[in-house]
Amino acid sequence: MIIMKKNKIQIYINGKKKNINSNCNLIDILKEYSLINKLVAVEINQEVIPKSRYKTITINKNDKIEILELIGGG
Amino acid sequence: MKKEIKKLVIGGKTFKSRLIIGTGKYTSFQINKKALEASGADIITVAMKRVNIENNQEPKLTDYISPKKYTFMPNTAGCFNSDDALRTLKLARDIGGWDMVKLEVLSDKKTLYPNMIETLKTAEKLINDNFKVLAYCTDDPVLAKNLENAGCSAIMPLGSPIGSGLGIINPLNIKIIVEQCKVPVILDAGIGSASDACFAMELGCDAVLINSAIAQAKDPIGMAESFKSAVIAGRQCFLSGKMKKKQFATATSPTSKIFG
Repeated sequence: MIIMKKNKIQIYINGKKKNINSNCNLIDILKEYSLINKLVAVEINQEVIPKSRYKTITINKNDKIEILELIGGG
Repeated sequence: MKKEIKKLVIGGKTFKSRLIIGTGKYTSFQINKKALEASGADIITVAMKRVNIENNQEPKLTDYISPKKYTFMPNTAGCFNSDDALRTLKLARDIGGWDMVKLEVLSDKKTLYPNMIETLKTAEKLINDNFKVLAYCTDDPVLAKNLENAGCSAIMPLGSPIGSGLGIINPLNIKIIVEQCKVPVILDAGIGSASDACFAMELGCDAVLINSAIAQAKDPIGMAESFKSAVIAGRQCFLSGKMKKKQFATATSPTSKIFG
């Protein structure tokens, strides 16, 4: 886990509460869940984050992150 | 005359097959893949869901069906309002750059009928955002026209409720929509058998979207083949011009007496 003893912040990933290091960026989060270079899309507080911005996006307290993928559908 | 065009053209892009395959409800990705190959389709619909962050190593659709080989058309399954549909499609576009989308804003869990007011409103927003919108809709010709006027790339009227297999319950309306529409009409939802798909094409639909009828068949691969043939046959029948129906018999052989 990314959890550190201090400087932790609480965020939400796909509706679940998570505690992460306060200086995490989006890449760190995706690495944590083995989602780098996967067919996923990310939204933070209802704003789609283009892949080109992953490295520069920092995560703030109470951010609501949604990570979506494809499934079968009609 | 768009109806004379042999190939399916949606939003300026040409497709060789008039059969579009949904990828839900298959018992395995392997069967989904084989059925898709048997169907000859080049467009598939896909849905979006939250990644299971606790366990995201399970097999994925894209492990079996490649976006490099097929045109992926994201849908908005599970969206019951405009905002959710917009969010979903923007996220889908970010995944693969897919701007050709199937918009469905549902209203009622029992019938899965589309909420046409929300659908129209959402279509306008998506088109302004450079999406090519294929709109799932009721078989109401007036609303279908509204969607076309809003700039939708294709109109997708339902034959009957999603997954019902009831076929086309209002062929009159489908025919009216086909005749008035200048963009492709894709019969979506309700098709249960190959004859339903053939009928849709005979009515002049430009394509059909099939999911449950193939996925839930005893032999999905065989059923996919049958739909492939049905769609080709129905299209050829439409283009060839059917004979007129008559109330009484007209002899096919000479009626004069052989022995005077």
